[in-house]
Amino acid sequence: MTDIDISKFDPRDPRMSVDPYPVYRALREQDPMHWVDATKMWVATSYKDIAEILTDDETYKHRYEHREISRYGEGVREQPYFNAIRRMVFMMDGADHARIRPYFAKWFLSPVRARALQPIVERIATSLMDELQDKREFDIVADYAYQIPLRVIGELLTVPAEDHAKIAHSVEAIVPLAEGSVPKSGEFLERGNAALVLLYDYFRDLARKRRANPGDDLLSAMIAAADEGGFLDEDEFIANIILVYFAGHDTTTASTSLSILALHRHPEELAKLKANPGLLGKAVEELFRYEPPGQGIGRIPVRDVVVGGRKIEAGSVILCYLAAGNRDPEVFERPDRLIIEREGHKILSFAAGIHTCLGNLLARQELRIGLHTLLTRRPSLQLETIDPPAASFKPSAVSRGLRTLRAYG
Amino acid sequence: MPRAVLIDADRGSRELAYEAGDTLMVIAVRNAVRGIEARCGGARACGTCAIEPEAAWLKLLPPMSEDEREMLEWTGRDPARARLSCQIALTAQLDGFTAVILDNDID
Repeated sequence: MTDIDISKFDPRDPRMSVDPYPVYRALREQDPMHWVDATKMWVATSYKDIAEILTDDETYKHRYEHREISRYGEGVREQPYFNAIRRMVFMMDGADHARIRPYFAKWFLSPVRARALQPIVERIATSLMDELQDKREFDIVADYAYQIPLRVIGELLTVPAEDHAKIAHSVEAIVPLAEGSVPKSGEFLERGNAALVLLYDYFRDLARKRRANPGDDLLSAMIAAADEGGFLDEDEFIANIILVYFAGHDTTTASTSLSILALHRHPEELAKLKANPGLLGKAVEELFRYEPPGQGIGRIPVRDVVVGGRKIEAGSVILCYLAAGNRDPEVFERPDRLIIEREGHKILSFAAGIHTCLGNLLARQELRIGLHTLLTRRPSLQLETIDPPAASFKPSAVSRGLRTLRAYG
Repeated sequence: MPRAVLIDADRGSRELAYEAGDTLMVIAVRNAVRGIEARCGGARACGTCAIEPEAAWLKLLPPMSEDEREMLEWTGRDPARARLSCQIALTAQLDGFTAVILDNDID
């Protein structure tokens, strides 16, 4: 048992950004389905409960519109952020979700596609290393981890390289609004809304041009899906292009930089990986288990349920801490240790069931190739510190990540 | 409650209670069964939840869709013997269903 007092637990506690894992452990050991009065929600921390919730989409929904309206009032219907996010497949339930998801699943999750994406990611990682060739010191986050997914998704959506400067900054304004980690008011709201309007205009124009000249890219596949009636209207179509553009950025940036930090905190594991690159596939799985960027996701039961022995009323919010499930000793032996040759059980980092992250194969590939390229090209790389200060971590309760990670050598 | 059995070649078998209507993949994920990755979440798009049912049970399953056949072929499985567990809806008649978990490690 840990000595953390979970009765005072608040997911918004800034200390959670630096090292949330002892708190997850205390929650899981003391009360795996725990009511948090401060935020009026349940938090789930055991693998079994989380897997049960995520794989029962009849009972547990996103209810995005309901959640936003009940929290912020009917006025949100006028907000650009609300009208964009409610149309994105990752927040949809039921029939709408079932209508759109197969198009993405076919494109993103087929093994054939995964093979085709590999050389693209390799080329991008290699060219980034070429660009950093003469820099002895650089920022893993800004100069490498952030650049890989940005350039990959840019290429898949046929965004010309010179346009990234115009639109990429929008992503950091949208992600906090989408994950609900900032207030829906003032500056956050204004910036998020403005970013969405900018991206709507940009991608509407890009899609129009691409329609006249389609290729074997993701944008062309989405245009074909739209022409088949896969999207209700243009607003929904463009909203989902925007989703694809931002969804992979933030998370893959975080997983690459957190993984590099985790490996440097475990030099024996790093040495093993350098000595045996054949372990890379397993190492990536373990790094996603150990440090998932998406720490938690919300679900709302549509009927009264009993989970983990707790009675939960219909309409309550349950925050499923995927990162806590990933360290449940019932499933993973010695869960708090990074063991790169660990194998076997499904990790919860990409959720489970019909809402499983559509980009999970791409994310795995980006991390694998990103790590491999870095370790090969900069074998003697060192981090400025393996204990970054609190200010280096993103201040979010549900998405873990680093804002900066200086390296040299 | 009816049960299905999944056999891991290295670690023996797991007996899993189910309710009719659940898919075999979902039951496996809920019980953290090793080797069922289900990376697409049940969209027959990734081929990482493949199993080989015992012959007697295989005959009782409804025929597979073209998508499922294609996915099994793409991932090097024999569609005459293998199935995707996400496509097997468990019914009361399948009580005792037994299958071997195939190698779903695609990394």
